[in-house]
Amino acid sequence: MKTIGKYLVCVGVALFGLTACVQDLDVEPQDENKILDFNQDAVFSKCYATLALTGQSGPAGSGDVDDIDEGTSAFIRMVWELQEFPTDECWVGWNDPGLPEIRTMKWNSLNQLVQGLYYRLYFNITLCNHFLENASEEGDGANQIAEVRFLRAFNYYYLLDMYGNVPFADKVNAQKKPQYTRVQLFNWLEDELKDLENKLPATRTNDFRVDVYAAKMLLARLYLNAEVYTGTAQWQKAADYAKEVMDGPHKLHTTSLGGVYTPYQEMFMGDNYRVVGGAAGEGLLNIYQDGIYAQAWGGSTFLVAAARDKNVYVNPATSEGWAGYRCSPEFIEKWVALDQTPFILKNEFDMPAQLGDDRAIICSVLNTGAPVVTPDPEITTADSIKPRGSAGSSFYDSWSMLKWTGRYIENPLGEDITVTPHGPQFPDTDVPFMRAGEAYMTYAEAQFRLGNTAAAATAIQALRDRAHNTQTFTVDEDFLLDEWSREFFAEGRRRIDLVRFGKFAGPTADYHWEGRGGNTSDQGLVMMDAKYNIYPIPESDIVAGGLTQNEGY
Amino acid sequence: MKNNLLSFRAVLLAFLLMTGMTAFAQLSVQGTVTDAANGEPIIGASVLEIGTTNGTITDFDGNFELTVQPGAKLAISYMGYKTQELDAAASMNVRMGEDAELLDEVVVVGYGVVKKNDATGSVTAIKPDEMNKGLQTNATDMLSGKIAGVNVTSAGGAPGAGATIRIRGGSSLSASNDPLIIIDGLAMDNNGIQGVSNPLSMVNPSDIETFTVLKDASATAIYGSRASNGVIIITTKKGAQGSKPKFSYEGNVSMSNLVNRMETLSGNDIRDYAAALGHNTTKTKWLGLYNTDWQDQIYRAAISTDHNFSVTGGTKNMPYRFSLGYTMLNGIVKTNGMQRVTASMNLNPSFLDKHLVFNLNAKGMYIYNRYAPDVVGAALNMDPTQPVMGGNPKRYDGSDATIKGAGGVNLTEQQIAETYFGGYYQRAARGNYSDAAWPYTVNRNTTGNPVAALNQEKYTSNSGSFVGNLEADYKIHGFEDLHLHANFGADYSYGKSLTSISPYSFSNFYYGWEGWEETKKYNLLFTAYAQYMKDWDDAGQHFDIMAAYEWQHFYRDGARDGWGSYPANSMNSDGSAANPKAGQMYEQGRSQYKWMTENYLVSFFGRLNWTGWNQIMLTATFRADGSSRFHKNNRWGFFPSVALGWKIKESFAALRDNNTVSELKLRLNYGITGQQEIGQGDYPYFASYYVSQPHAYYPVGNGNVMMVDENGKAVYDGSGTPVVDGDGLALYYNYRPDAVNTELTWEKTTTYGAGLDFGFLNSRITGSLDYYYRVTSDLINVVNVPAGANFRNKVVSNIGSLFNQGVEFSINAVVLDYGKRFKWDLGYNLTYNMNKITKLNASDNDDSYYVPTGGISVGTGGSIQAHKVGYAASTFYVYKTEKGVDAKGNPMYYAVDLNQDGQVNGEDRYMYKSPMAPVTMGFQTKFQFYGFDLGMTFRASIGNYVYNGVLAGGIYNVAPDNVYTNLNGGYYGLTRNAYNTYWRGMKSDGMSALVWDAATNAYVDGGAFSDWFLTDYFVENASFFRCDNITLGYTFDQKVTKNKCHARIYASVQNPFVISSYSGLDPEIYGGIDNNIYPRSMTTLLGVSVQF
Repeated sequence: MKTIGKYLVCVGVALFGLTACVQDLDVEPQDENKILDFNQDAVFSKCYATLALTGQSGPAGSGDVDDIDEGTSAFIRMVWELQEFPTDECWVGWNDPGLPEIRTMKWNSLNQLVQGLYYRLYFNITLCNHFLENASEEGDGANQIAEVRFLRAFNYYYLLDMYGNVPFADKVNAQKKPQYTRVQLFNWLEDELKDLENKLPATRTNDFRVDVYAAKMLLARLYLNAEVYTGTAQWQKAADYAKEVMDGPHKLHTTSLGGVYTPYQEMFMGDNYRVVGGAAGEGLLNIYQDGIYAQAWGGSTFLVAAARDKNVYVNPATSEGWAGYRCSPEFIEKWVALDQTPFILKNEFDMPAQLGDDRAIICSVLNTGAPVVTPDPEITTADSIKPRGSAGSSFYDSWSMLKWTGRYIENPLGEDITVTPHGPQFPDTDVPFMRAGEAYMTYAEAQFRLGNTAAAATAIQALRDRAHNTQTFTVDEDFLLDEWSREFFAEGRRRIDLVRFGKFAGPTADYHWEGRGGNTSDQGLVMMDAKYNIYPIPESDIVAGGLTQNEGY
Repeated sequence: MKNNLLSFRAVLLAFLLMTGMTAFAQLSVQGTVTDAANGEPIIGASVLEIGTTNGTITDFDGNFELTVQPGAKLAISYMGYKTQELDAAASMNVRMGEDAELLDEVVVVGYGVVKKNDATGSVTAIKPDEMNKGLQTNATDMLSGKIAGVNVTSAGGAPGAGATIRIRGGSSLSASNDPLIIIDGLAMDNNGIQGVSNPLSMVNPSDIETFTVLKDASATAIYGSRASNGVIIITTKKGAQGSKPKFSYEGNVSMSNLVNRMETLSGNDIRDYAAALGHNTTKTKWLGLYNTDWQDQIYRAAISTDHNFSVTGGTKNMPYRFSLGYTMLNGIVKTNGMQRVTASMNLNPSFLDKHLVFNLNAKGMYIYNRYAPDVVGAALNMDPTQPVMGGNPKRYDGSDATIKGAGGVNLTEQQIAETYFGGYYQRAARGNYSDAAWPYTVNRNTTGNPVAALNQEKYTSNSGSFVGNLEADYKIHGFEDLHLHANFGADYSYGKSLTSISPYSFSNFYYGWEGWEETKKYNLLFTAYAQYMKDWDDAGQHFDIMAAYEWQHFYRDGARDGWGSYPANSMNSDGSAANPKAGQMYEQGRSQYKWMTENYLVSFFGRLNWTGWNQIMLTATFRADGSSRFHKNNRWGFFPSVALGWKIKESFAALRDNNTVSELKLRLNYGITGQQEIGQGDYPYFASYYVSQPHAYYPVGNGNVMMVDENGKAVYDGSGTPVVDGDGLALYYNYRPDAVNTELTWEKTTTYGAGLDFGFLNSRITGSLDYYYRVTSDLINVVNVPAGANFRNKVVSNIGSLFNQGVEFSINAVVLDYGKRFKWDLGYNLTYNMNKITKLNASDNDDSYYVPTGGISVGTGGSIQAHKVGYAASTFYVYKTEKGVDAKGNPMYYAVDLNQDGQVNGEDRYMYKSPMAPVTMGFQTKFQFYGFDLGMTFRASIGNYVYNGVLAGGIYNVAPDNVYTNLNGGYYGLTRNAYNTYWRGMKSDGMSALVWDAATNAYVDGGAFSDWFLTDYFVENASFFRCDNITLGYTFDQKVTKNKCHARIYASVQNPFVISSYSGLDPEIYGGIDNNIYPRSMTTLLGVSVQF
């Protein structure tokens, strides 16, 4: 009996021990980087940060989006590449996976960039949904909620514009998401933004948050393209909302702050928050970038570095130079004939003066005249610069787009920098992803469509005055399409405009540019199937989400 | 190896001899004790006159002398062999048979005792080959090519480099495919740390007694949760009971040489090539005047040495073994080397009349490593016309090599090299640091000087590890059939790497870099089981049952920091004053991080063994595992198995007494194993947030202001200084919700297997043949989820399935056996494995779906492999090429428009070959001739394919547009292979596209094809036949050593040759993508082993 008792005690102790050990399986993360509780401010901050950053460690290392290079996955870069690369504005020589197909308009539903943007937008939307499901209105909460609703709408706008018929989610859960038609999504966006007109603050408290004018501008953009999105044009509403923005607090930046660069150029420089930020700044949605604290490969670093070569540039205040995008010949022709006599330039920002328009910040950096704009000892030939453009593999087959730079407003022209940027690699240049200038062009086009050519001309004149362009012009369709490009090149919107003008793809698109359909400029027009007016839904979500593919793909 | 018949003969002989000699009053016995299986002497065997304390042990040739009472009985025993009790005789020749029971108990399976002869599963145990081992500094070296179904591929030739072990192919896609490694009963954590590539490197190979590889379901299922990829059990050497201390020393010195190198163009060749291309002096002036062989500059002959010392012995109740090892291993890349000190201890005390037995193991290790920077590729790409040191005072065209600096000051390349590059040649460019003292920088578009990198970049690591366990086994008094067993184990490892890079270096010019990263981990284990065994020997019945509990805790944490600094002599931009930040930390690049993670496994399991009539064996196991990596609701996995063995030989009278067939056994097994090494962290089911790290802040927020402490380290408790940007704007941290999958559960692999063990001619020929079919379902797979449903577009889920099936065959034979005079052994094994994915995503028949994998560094990157349903994992996914002629009749390669849509794009890629070899073979042979022995080991791999990234990258550089550009500022070094391939018809922009012309229904030339580096042209058949090792040894006769010691000297040459049609350096590359691996050297070694 005694022995049995001992055994029983042993068994009892053992069972107790086992139970305790099974409870060890109920772990809780102890890592200080892994947090279990919702923090409204910190998630709110992330909702904005998704526009600028690609993940949780800058510039890369913990990306938000899978199956795409983290640097490429940036909101700015993804939108920009899909809006710019297939158009008449620029050419890119890179062969990144999926990029040649974007450039030559031969993409399909497996394209990595088509997929990358789609999932970037849904990541941002899911995050916003999560915030909205958990946020409270206390304190700053009501503003935060309205702003996050705007950010969600802003992301949905790009889904509407580029993918059309997409799943709609306003909650984070595994339930099947309904696939909205383009019209359904348009209607939802219209209602959402109109509701936000009453909810967003009238004045922003921070350069990098939005006020109600961001929603009005987005409504104007929605209505301007309403015919594309829904089949029904809404020019008057576009003009009305554009006018509200024009009359609002965000004014065109017309007076140079530093006295070295033109006001137009100052909007795209390292300390541009001084002209696009503030209560009266031209930017309506400014995306923050900083050389130290907000680093990303796909923000302004991409915009600045991809337009330059590392060894041949005027110091743009970044050590990066990726020899990526440059002017297409069709874009150069918006400024000057290709058979124009060569120019002799004083510096990289001399082309606007030569062409009589501050916006023409384009230049070849190879065959420049003196003074030399390059640190490379070899390139000292005093060749004059000729307009040219070709889809060759070399970056030097055309002129560069030097609009975006990391230099500061006070820095002198030329090689040296007197005001040092925050870091030597990532420019501090913030990205005004919507700016008041758009209201002027929107207003002009809408009025033109409504038959008010004079009102259109007045709005355009305001932009031309700011650019110190004294040339006369006549407003017609071709002019408007070109003017959109002159004002907004390299700002990530060209595709929208070509589609709206019926020049992108489909039977009316009789406008050929370098690389369109794979043909060079001299090979002539390729008719592009109308399906290319929107991108396909990525194959992966057709399968996972049980979706129907866009027509033609 | 059992040889009952021979043992029987020996007994008989001894008996006969004895009966004739009983007349003598005192008997002087002289005898020899040998291993019945291989005839080798058994050293240190204990010979005891039964009933007395009179005894001795055998000497180095297995001989003993003992004077005993007439009619005495002798007990001859030795660890691992069946103890024999024999009548004493004047001359005894004792042949000891291995004690299967004992061997099994100690070695073969964990958690209890299984007679090897009764084993029902595919279990392969090998003892390290002491004779033919070459330079073995990692336990993986000993496994390579030895066991059918086990493939070991080293990561390259660097000292301490890891190796990939695959048992019966890979059963997972995104989860781990590494086998479970168990060292002395302690299941190891497979995560490497700095300086310790995998758990196998924590054991000094010379301490290893046996390797046991469990391959099939029945053998592995008892390890349930972690055994889907096989189990490797390592048992270290132990002391022998009641033996005198035995000292053993093994040492060697070796020299490694690079024997196989890439042939490159000389400086003269490059200059000729530039001339042939018609380059004008604008370009050619950048050519240097030298003929530098950069490979000669980075490689060396490396001398290494390895010493191991051990003491083994035992008192009656306390066997012990201690060992010490020191290894210094130098790499053939200059500056690269490793030093290691190991120590181990094993004690086996027994108490209470052997009812309570302890087994205490402790192993410690310290490793210092100095890694080489990645210079293997740089040595191929670096311009051979340039010097190692200095610059070119005159260029190729005779002009002064002057570079323009800031403010119009020009310096010569020589001056720049001396002032700014630490004396080394680097191609210079204008600086961009706003620093008058540093007006130049390295041209990042050129190749960095590899010799400079070796000397200016220092990567080191210090690592230590401790593995220890205490096992206790108690046979219950009065009820000896039941015993209780407990095992407490722990492994602790620590590794810290240090990086120090000069500000004059190519990689971190100007700011330099100082950094460290450390990882700590420990793993605790507790196992307890009770086992009841009962034998009814007369009936040939055996029965045992075991029930067990196991608990494991894995913990890891780590931290890193790194920063550059402004150079001490930094000036402001106009040179008028010193930079106020000179010498200070440059905070932009600083990277700090700290993490920790842990997981638990709790298991209950049991096993039943039954042997009936000594003919039929049945093993059934069941295991339940709980993993903390899964949500409560799906945390437990249940892993049953059953196996059946049939001793055919014992079942038929005709076979039972037949010596021709010495063994014939059929095995059938079925079982399920699990996988929870998901590769996605330890908390996939938690809704949690990940906080943003430095350089990922944003100026929007309210309460989440970013704070840092005085070291610049992020703090979240509000105690530090707020972070503001250069314009005074406050910055905020943010939270990102992590993807969450509460449904995630065990991946399960179901295995069906059949095997036949055979032995012929008194076990002179033995072998086995196995077939297996393994299906993995609920594949842990990172798959797309519907947009908007989760916080990532890809979430780790249980979707998909794949299978592996294969055949394994191994055979060992003693071809000739003339005792000590001449003996010839042969061993051969063959493995065939095929792997196929059967489901990948939610859709059942989506032909277009694939998962890209296998990133390459050529071109702008991209991937060269894909997982796709119907194909092996990681099959090459490439464009198809065809050879043709261009318009001028020159040979030309075309990329084909496979889908005939008029263009060659991503949709024309097709699934080509697999990087995994379907057939692998190992082959060993050994000759012994008197004291000499000669051993050789070979391996072959048939049908493995490799993407020759070195060639593709080289071809890019050969192209006239790329070999020189004014931006790159110079010429590339070129490999002969790339140069020759290029002239066979590659165009400067690669290949041409061959597109389908619908109008003419024919293929036409579609112009340049830019993705030429993604074609099957570069996927080469890399089948190979490699000689791993040849060893010639001599064992001194005992007359020479006067019985004082056993001594052997040997010379070995490792990796003398490899035969392959692969055009790159080395065809053996795990994963099949050749991006310049650290070359495997040929090593010549002289060694000595002494026991006394």
